[in-house]
Amino acid sequence: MALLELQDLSLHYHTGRGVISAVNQLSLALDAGESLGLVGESGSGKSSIAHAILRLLPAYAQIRQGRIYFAGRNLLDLTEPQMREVRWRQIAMVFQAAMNTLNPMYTVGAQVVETILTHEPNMSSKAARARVEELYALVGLPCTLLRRYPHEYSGGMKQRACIALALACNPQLIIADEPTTALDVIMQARILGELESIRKERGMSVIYISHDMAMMAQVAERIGVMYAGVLVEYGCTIDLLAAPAHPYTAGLLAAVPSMADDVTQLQEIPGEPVDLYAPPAGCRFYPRCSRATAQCKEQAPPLLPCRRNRDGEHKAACWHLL
Amino acid sequence: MLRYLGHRLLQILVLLFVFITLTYFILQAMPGDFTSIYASNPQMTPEMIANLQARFGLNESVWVQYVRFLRNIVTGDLGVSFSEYPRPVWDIIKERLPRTFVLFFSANIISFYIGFWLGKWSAWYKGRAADKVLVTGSISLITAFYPLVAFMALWVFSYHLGWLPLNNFVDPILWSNAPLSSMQVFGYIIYAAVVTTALLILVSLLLRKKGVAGAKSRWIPPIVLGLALLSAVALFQRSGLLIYVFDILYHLLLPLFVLTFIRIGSSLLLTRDAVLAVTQEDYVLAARARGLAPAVIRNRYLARNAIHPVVTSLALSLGESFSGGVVTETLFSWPGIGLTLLRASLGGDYPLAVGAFIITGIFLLLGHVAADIATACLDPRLRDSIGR
Ligand SMILES: Nc1ncnc2c1ncn2[C@@H]1O[C@H](COP(=O)(O)OP(=O)(O)OP(=O)(O)O)[C@@H](O)[C@H]1O
Ligand SMILES: [Mg+2]
Repeated sequence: MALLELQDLSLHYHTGRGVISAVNQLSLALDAGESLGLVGESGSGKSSIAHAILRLLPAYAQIRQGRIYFAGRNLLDLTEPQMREVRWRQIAMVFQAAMNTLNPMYTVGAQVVETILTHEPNMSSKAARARVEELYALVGLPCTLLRRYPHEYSGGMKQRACIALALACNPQLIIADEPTTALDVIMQARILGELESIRKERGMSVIYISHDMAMMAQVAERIGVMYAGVLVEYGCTIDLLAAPAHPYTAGLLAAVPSMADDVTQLQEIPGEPVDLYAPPAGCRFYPRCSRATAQCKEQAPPLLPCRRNRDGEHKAACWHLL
Repeated sequence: MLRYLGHRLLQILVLLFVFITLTYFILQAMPGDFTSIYASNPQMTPEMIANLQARFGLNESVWVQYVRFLRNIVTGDLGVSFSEYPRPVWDIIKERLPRTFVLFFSANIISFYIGFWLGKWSAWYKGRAADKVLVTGSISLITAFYPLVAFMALWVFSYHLGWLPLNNFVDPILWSNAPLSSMQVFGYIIYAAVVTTALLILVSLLLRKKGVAGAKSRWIPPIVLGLALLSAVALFQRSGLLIYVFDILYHLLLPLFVLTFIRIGSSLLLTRDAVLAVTQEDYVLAARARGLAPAVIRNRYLARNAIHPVVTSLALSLGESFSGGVVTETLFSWPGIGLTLLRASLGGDYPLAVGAFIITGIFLLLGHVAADIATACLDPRLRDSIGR
């Protein structure tokens, strides 16, 4: 059984200007110990999914339909106190805005200890502190930083501290939303490498969220490609990179310098991003797609296994698969 | 820290000089001097008035008076009151200032405490009925015409119900054969309050330092407070001062209540706004994601980060509490510094008016420094800016 399973999830934000369809009929499964990458351009709904899983959406967000199963329970049915036990104990998160996810009034060490003691109230604060020191060693931060306040950390240090924080309660799943945006390339590779080895060692699952296909190729075992709130392609990283089935995925790959055969061939996907206040009725990508036909305009394509499929896992939502 | 304090002190001295000069000349610019109250008295001949003016140096040029005045202040001599001649100004201020201070200081502390607490909950339950009631109430309090509220309180509690005195500082009949003056007894009350507060702070600090956890230690500060109050009562009882102490406190009650009540509104709204602003911060979302308890998020995340503007505002109003409110003190016939200032200014008693102005001005400026230091101490990001 999958550890996490999203079934038919649709999510809307009711804003002053209208209703945003941020996630549309999305289904996705993740096994224990697996790493999944969610890729997509800015505004495609990646963070919205992460927040929906942890039930952190604002009051004006509405989940119109769908279920989020985690370890057999539908998280959407849990009460708030039940949800508090799932949070961090079972599902932890590295936030996209790592800069601002720490309380400026307390030392970082105190915040990690606070988190551990919340979920393991019987632990002595001494033991908790020892655990925090281990975590800091794990992410390569000196323990002296524990007594420092968040504003005394550099961006990269904060990001590492946030990763240590995510590991604090030994969760089964970590959602890492752009975990390395504040870092230079070398540091990014190092942190991701560390996170991956921790994942394998502990048998955790990780969902990586990024718009960076190249980074995903390094870490994710499977990749889900999002476009305008829709999962347009899903598959094993190797298959997906070798033979993208959806025109959008192909476009994304062509836009990555290291993946295009030749830098001169580097292409941008033409057209404007979708207006999520009034998304197209059919395929959301059709206005920018070179292969679009009348059918694309009217009918939304379902996510179906591709023809050239090896294991039946590679799926794409397109009427005209590549 | 020391350098910062020195810098601020210098700033205060400069401001104080400007302030004193302005005060002096504004008062000088007012028509007449204290001898003009005798002008309509047919028994006072112009020669006698001129004589008086000469005696107080009022016939010399303004500049000569000003320089002499500055010199006196620097040497700590605020002069002698005209209207209560020959009482020294400092003596009068020493008597009146504590009355004002105790009233306004307590009112500020209590109202900010309640306002902060209510504001926190109001923001937490934003949009619900309780929040709406609190916000509407606060706005009514802020916009209410204060003298009217005070009159209504006097009418209800003192006149109609007869629970409280139609105010004043003390009951003169009771005090006619008191062993000590009201000023002395009041001094003892302040002394007891200061000792109790210091004790409480000390105990809380000790508890925090020892890291004594949760439920049990929660009862220690209240117990200490109870014991301190009991021993104060016992001490006053033994010295036979208890009824006089109670008389003063009894007279303090109504103005304290009204002032506190009327000020809750602004601190509540201030806190609520600050907390709501913090609610938008990423670290609050992150705290929820970590599964922290609602009480922890409310206190350690929301309220703690919202405290900055509230403490600034509190420190400023504490500084102001030395100048008191002319309105309050008039309404409740509370013989504090505000009433003194009003009477002195109207009666042409320059030494007293200027002395009162200067003293209250000093405290106002100190309040500003206290506000800066308090906020800096409370915020680790600012702590470095004043040095550790
Ligand atoms: N709190 C919110 N209120 C209103 N609209 C929101 C909110 N959060 C997200 N949205 C909208 O929902 C859509 C998806 O946003 P989301 O943050 O999930 O995108 P994302 O894929 O994480 O983008 P990025 O890569 O820039 O982080 C966007 O159109 C965004 O404008
Ligand atoms: Mg995002």
